[in-house]
Amino acid sequence: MLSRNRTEADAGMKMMIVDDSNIIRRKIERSTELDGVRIIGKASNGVEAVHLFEKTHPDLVTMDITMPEMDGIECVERLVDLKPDVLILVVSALSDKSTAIEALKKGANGFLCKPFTDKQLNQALAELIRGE
Amino acid sequence: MGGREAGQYKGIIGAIGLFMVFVAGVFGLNFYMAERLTTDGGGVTLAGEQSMLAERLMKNLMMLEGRLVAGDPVEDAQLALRRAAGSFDSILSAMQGGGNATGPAGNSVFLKPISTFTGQGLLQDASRSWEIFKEALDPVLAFDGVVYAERSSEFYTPAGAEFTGLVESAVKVGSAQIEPIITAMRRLVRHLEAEAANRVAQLRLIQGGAVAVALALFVFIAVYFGRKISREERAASQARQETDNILKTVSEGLFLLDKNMNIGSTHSQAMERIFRKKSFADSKFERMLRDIVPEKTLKTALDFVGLLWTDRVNARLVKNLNPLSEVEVHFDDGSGGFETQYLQFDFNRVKQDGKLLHILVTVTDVTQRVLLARELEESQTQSKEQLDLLLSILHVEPSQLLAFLEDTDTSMKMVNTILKEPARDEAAFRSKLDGIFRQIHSMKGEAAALGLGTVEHNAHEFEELLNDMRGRDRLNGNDFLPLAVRLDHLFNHLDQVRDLVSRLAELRMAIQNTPVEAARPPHVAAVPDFRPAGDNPGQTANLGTAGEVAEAGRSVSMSLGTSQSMVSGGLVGALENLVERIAGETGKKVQLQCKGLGDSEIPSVYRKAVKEMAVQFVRNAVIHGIEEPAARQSSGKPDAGRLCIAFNPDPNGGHEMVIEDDGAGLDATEIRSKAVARGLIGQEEADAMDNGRAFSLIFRAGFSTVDEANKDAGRGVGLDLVRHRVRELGGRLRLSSAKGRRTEFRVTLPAADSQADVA
Repeated sequence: MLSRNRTEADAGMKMMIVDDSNIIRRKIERSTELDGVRIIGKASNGVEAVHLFEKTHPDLVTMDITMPEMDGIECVERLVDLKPDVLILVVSALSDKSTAIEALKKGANGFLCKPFTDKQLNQALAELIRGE
Repeated sequence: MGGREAGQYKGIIGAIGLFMVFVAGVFGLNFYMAERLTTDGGGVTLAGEQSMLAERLMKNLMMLEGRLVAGDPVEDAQLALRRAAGSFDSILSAMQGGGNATGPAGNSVFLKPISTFTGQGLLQDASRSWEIFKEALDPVLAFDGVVYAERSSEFYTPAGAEFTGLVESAVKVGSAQIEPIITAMRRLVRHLEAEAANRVAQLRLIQGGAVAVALALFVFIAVYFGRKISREERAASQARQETDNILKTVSEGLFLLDKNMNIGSTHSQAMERIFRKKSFADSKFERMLRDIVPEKTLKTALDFVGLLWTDRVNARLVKNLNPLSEVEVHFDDGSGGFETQYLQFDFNRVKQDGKLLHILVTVTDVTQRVLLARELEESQTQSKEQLDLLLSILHVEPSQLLAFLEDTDTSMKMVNTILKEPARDEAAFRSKLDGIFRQIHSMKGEAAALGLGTVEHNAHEFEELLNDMRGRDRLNGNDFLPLAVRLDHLFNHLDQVRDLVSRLAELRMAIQNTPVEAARPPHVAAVPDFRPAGDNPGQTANLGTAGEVAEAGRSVSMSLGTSQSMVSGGLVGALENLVERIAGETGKKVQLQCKGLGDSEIPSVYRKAVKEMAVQFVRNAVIHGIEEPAARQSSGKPDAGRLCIAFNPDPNGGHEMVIEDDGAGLDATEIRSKAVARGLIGQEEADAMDNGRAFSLIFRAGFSTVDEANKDAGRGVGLDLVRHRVRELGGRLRLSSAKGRRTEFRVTLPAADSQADVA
């Protein structure tokens, strides 16, 4: 993914996927079909995500909550510190609403409930980009 | 709202501004007229002075003549005359053409020309006479010689004589001309005074007009804007009335929240019905919720609403997180109890010009909807349960089913007896609990083996309750009360099964009595289904086997007596079913081999116990012993685990049951630590234990290596049940295991004839 897009013009939005599940990462990567959005990286925990973020400066991030090393809540806080206008979509199960709310308080912009359909994912991303 | 108000007042402000401009204009005009009036006053004064000046001029001239006659000095009289003449001349010409004039006292004044036609005419009259007079006067004024002679023979010098002549002639001319001059000047005064009076009248007219116009303007403004404002007021009040009507009629609770979570002053009337109170003003959202939802929900809800005030958060993308969508709330019902309702809160941002002003909260009472949905779900579950039950009954071999029902009846009676046993101390309570646990667990195992899912499920729920009790620090008699309720539930369910069985029997009989059915060879339906061990009865059971049900339904004991061959044949099938199901659920592969479990090979007194134990051992081996295919591969074993059950006579006339699997074996260390963790033994005791003793821990009630119980494992009952059965039968139980390779259980039972009819 990374090498395929590197030659393209640096226009549009750069997106990073953060999830400890390989299946979910792949699902998000395959399902995302928005004009102007390209996936520039994937991370499987918060620490990896912060490193990758510092290198690639994405505009858009999908963020899991429960992850080893550094969880999504702390990761959101770090990413917003690094780039205050980054758009973060929390992608998590509905079982614990208060945890997702915590991540939003730290600066995430929206929430998508697992499991999700391709359509739901793309709608959520489009809504996130459009803003309010 | 602010923008509209400014627009509304813009008109008034404009009108008042115009009014002020008008008033200022009138003032300006007034000022100009007053200025003019002052100037005119000056003209009147000067014109009056001019006539006096003319008189004085004449008087000075005549005084000069008197001096000449008397021979008195003439210089001062000539000077006075000169001054008066100069002043008169300059004022007259200034009045005509404007400019500076020299007053009689030698002072200089600026005069504007008199502009009226009449005034100019009068001035011209005066000027004409003055020109004539001046012509005669000028030589007098210009004389500069010696008037009187030094010698007394002559009175005047020649120049003096001439001067006297000039003066006499000037007096003559002056006497003729002074009258018209003074008349003109006096008329001028009167004319100017009339002019001034005119102006004053004009000014009064203008002032009066201005006042009238100002008043009219004021009335116009007052009426126009008064009507406009009252129209707007009326519209506003109508809008208010409409809003009130909406708020009174709408069935949802509506109110606004500000940033400090205060409830706004306006709310819909439905709020009073929904929240059962009258006043919400000056109230906090938190206080509204505190009494009706749990603390955790309250906190999450406040956090959630707080999020909506955060600019970063996209409101549409967090709707899912609303903890108050379909929230269960409890209201005090006034008689010490509470009433449960379901409310749905929706939150919407209210923005103006991009600025967030309020959160609009919509509260809907969804109790009916939720209850209906639950009812529907419950009835669906119930129908599904009944259908499942029916299907599962159809798939069980009739004799096995009847044997199971017989056994469960005994078990239920046993549980009832145990429940009624008197107990006082903790140990007695615990022993009662373990006794009930064994009965229910056995029933669950058999139900599972027969594929009676609903019975298994019910028994599992009973176990949940028992397990909950087991986890308590202390037990008392009251703790056992809920068990009676649960037992009743299980009784009812088993009655349902019996009911279904007898209905099927009736159906079978009815079918047999129809002509179509009668035409069939009778043995097709009536022949019992002899099934070789290993065949899967789950696939073949059908109404055809209901013949047994019909017969057996009438007499259970007869049925058991005549179709014993089915029980063991069925046992192998049941075990295979059980293995298949549990392996499927746990993702394992298991090959089951049975030996000696045929009908004739198990003495009847051992039949029930062997069946019970086999179920528990198989369940135990598949869940705990055999590993998942991946784990087996990495240990170099084939994917499918091997599980052998053999029941053989031993040389001493007794029997031996051997259960062996090639699974993970027992881990003494893990068993010790789990036993310590479950409080079965102390740490010191565990440390002192050899592996053999540690293995024996797995037969203790309450032991399990699984952390979370499900319906197949985790209660620590199965092997405890086996231990009890072996003890009841006077047998022995041995266990050997090699970690990572195998586990073997060996049950030795004494000769069957030594047994009383235990089973």
